[in-house]
Amino acid sequence: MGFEILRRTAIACAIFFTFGSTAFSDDTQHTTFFSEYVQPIFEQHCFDCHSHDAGEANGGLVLDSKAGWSVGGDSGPAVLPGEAAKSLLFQVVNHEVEGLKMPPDGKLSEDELQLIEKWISDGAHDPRDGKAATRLAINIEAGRKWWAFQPVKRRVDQPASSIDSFIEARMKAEGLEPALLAEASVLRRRLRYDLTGLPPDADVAEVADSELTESDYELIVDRLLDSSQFGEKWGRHWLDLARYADSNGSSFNPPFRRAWKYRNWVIDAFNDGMPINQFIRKQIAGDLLPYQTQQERDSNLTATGFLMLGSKVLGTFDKEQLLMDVVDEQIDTISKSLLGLTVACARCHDHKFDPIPQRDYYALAGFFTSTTTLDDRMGGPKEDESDWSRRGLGKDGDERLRQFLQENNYAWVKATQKTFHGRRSLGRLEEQLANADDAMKVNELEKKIAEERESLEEWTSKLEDFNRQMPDYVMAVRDADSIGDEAIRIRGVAASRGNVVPRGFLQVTCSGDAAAKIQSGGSGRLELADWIAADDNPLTARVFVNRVWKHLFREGIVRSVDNFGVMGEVPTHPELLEHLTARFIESGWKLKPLIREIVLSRAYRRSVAISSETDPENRLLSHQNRRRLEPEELRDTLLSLSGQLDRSQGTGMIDHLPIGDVSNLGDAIAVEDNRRTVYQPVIRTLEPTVLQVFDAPVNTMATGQRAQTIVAPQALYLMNSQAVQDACHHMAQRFLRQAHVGTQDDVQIGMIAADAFHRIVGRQPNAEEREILARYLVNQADGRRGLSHHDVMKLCQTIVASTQFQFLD
Amino acid sequence: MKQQHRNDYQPCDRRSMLKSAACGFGGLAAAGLANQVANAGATHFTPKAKRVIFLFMHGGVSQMDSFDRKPTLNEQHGNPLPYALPGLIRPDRLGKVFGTDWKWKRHGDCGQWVTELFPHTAKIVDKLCFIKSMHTEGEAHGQAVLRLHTGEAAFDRPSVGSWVSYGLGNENENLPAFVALDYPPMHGGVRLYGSSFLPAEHQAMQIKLRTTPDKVAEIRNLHSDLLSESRQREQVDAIVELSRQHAVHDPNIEGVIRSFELAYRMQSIAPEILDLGQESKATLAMYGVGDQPCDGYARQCLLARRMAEAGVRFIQVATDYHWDHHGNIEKDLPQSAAKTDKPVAALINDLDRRGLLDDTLVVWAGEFGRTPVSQIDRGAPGRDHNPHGFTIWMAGGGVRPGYSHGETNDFGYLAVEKKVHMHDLHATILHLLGLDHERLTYRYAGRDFRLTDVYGNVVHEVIA
Repeated sequence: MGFEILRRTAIACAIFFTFGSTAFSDDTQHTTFFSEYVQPIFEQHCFDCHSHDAGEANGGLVLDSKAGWSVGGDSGPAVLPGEAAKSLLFQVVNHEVEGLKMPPDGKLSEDELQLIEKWISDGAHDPRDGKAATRLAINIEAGRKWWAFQPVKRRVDQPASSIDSFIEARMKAEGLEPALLAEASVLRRRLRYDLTGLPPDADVAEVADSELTESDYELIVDRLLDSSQFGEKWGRHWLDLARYADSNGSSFNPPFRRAWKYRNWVIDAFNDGMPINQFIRKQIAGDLLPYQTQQERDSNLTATGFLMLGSKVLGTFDKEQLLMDVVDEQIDTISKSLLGLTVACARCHDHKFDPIPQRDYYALAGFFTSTTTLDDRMGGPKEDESDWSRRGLGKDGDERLRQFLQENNYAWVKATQKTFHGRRSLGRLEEQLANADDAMKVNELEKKIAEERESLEEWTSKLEDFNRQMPDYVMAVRDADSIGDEAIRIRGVAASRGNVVPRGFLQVTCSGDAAAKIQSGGSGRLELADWIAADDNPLTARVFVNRVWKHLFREGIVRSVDNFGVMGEVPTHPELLEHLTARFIESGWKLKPLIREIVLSRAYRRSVAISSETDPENRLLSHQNRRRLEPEELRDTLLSLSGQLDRSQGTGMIDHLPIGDVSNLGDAIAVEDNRRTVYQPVIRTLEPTVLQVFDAPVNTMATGQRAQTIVAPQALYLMNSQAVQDACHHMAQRFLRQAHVGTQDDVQIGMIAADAFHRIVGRQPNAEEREILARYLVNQADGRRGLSHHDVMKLCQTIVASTQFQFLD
Repeated sequence: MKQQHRNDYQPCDRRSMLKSAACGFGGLAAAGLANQVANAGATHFTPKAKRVIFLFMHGGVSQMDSFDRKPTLNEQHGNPLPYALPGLIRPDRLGKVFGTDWKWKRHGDCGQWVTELFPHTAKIVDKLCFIKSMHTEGEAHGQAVLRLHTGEAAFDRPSVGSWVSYGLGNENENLPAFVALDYPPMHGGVRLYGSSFLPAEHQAMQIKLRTTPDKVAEIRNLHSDLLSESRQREQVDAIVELSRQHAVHDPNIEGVIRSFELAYRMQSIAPEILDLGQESKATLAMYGVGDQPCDGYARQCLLARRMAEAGVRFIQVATDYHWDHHGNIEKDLPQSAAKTDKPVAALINDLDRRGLLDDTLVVWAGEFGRTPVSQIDRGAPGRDHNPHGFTIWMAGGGVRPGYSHGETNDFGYLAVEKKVHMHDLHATILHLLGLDHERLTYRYAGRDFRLTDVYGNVVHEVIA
């Protein structure tokens, strides 16, 4: 207490003293004032985050030298001598700037504020030499030395090098023996799932396992690469990265009615062998690309759905914050999926680990703030979907769509809701009728049902009319009306604007100037797309090739597949990655030849049997890695084995949903459909159980590596779920011939058990497995009735639950 | 015969699971598969609480009609609020200062004010610790509910319970560490009990109770409709025996085998824990099971206690979405209070008499409070959302009983004294569990994440 009084007196004296005294020259007097009264405030309250000593220059600002505040940080000079009210430093400590109130742990005292104000007003005299915060800034030049930012190199002296030569040389050097090649049946199952996500098709006659030659294997590879199931499997890999979903999720969850067009575009692109650089360019700037035909134009527009699919907090009242959050989500998705970097970390401050300054983030942000993702009605929750930027397809599509929506929007929205809720209430009434026992009640219900049915018919026909007349459209971006560079937002707060940064690219990946040379005067996304998909971008091709490797070996050459920055891992086989990447680029960014080269390698075809204990993580790839079936593969396989899989391509399956939030609709959104899982709608926060339980991707963030868990609800699902029981019931119907129903012949029962295993797991059981299966089935069939379908159903379920089925050897 | 496969869309136990340190399954699975092994069981300092029951009052409770007495409201009733409305709340639908007609009385040795709407809670105030200066961000439910449960609204982040599961691990072999009772599908849905980037075993298992046909607690796929118990035992044995032939020394294969054993165990033990019929008539009556309108929440609270007894770490229990009294508050608020008051008080007393309250932290909170001015666009008046000041309470688990912390201004609108932000609440909950919110981190995508992001201060005054 005593100290406090003393100090207050001293401060009062100080202020009085400098006003009143002329005994010293002005300069000395001001300098003394600074050292005695202002510097201690800085030291006590600011230096932790704004000084060379602390090694921190948050926001690029240091306060330990005159240059520190006069040059200032991201927001420019912190102090304007003589103008306290206009000085950012004073505004910030006086808590005048929303979102930027310093010091963060509590406001300065009134006295301290007065001292700072006076110091600035008197001319901000500061005797201290020293530098601004430059030497604390990220050193881009040094950052370029990190392996992933170096240009892709190819060793020209090794023209004949192959995947196996790299891997085996390394193993030899480390004294490791490779595992044997996998048996033909195991390999076929592996290949089939890896390339198409489906089980080996027992109905398609292929060469017998025992006779599978090298050239047969090549033929199978080519056939699978050419099948339409290839795109369904590899498209799904990309959809994980595109955080694909058919609804917004978050707190207001309207469906993305046309997202499926983007999904199918992805699948088709993989099936058509679209070069990956083109695939990337279209998704970022398809709307800006030149085109030959209307069809090409429509397809290009569809591709930009990639930018649209983020989960947004639509209820945000602060529109600027919402806009910056949308942009952030786009930068996060693009940088993780395509560049293998966590650029979004630089939203609030320079990246803590990678050479990505905050200004690079806002250089990228400018492309997306110049792009319309949410339409002009951006804001709070809306009953309709018109927040989403929509593009009409076909000739004059945009104009026709705009006109249609203008004339019919309200009625269309109403029709979707009336039909949906009408169907629900009709269902409820019919249920009541079924349970009604008194005649009056029945009468009344029948009347209500008739009315409801009539109204439903009317609305259904209206909705059908709308759907027929509505011009075809997709979720797609357009350049915004207002285009320009973006201001740094201090500490990431939308309202705190700093310096404007010209739109441009990550400096660390550019040898020269990183600013975008925007020719068209538009958003510049085309230039951005060109930079990302350029042959000399050090990241994009490497990151992509590494992902392909990961899908075929379960681990990437760089194991942190989404992070090639300094916090990521380094490649286990750097030369191999360079080799594959260089070849990939030379081939014109073609995916299928890359996959072909990998699956034909010995490394891919090795058994999962561990051949050495010295490399527990199998970093040297002496054997293939076992993997678990993904939930899509699990469901598709169950449908396939039970003869129910519908192999046609899916379209939109959510047209029956009303416009608006769907979170509360529960079972009413269930879809009954037997097409592949990739075609089933992904309603965020309401996923089908099989996906929830078996580690489906987090569909709100780019996911290059799905979580892999082993948990009891998975076991419960396989033991008790209706879906698995139904599938196994159908399998039993198919597997148990009528002639064998009721058999009590143990040998025959044993053969039936072995046959079921073969059909489900794709190989013959070994002796021990055969014995376990036979014993189980014989035991179940025990009794007078002999073998029943129900017994075989239980057997199928046992096999489906076994690790032999759940894992891919 | 072609039968359509039904994709049953249900918000349910996405990748939730039993992580059981005791039998080693969790550890094995994590070592083999998960990105990062949880630092199970290692606290940063001596914990005061071992588990949490989080009672979520969905919709936002009016503080000025329950526990935060503001005589000014009745004095100024009908006058305009003497200052501008804060934030971005929609002023167009708000009217004048709106008093409260419900009778206030002081209760307990601590003299806590409670309105007549909460007679049962009033009797236990000496066991409660009120925080009357809560504030948060988010004028809309979605944002505020997500902030309450995950600390963040704009991005997908792990929920509080999943952080606790990650930080402390599981203390029982038969149930998961984290369960969510009757959680709503909206306002964030699965994110309210999700694990986001934390290993999926930390996600809550969703249990439905209030919404099931017979009001019997339900865990998805817990029962076989087709096999008798003995037939199922034979099947699990066959699955395990077959899988053992598959490979040796593969931790993932071992993990799957254990998951079947565990699932089978859960199948036999969970129904017992879920079965409220095992409680005495007196206990059922105490909670209000069978009484209306509190039957639903009574069952939930009772099940929460059974879960706590069984060693579940974090149990979160949602009310129906019935606290959102924009209009007709005079009729509706008493209903909401009556649905919860008796069961909640019974839960505290029941935990106490069983000696569980000492190390069980109970948190009672809505996502925000309500305005002191009336909302006038819904017929009879109500109160609008108010994230700027509201009341919550905690009990047991090392909090200071009979204490009231912080204050709102004279109108009960803005937290002004000893303000406690949602991040501070989270930091404090972790602290009581022995976890330092700045050190409980998880590395994801190159960054260390925390429940409290870069915020949060432990509110030491509320700790006993």
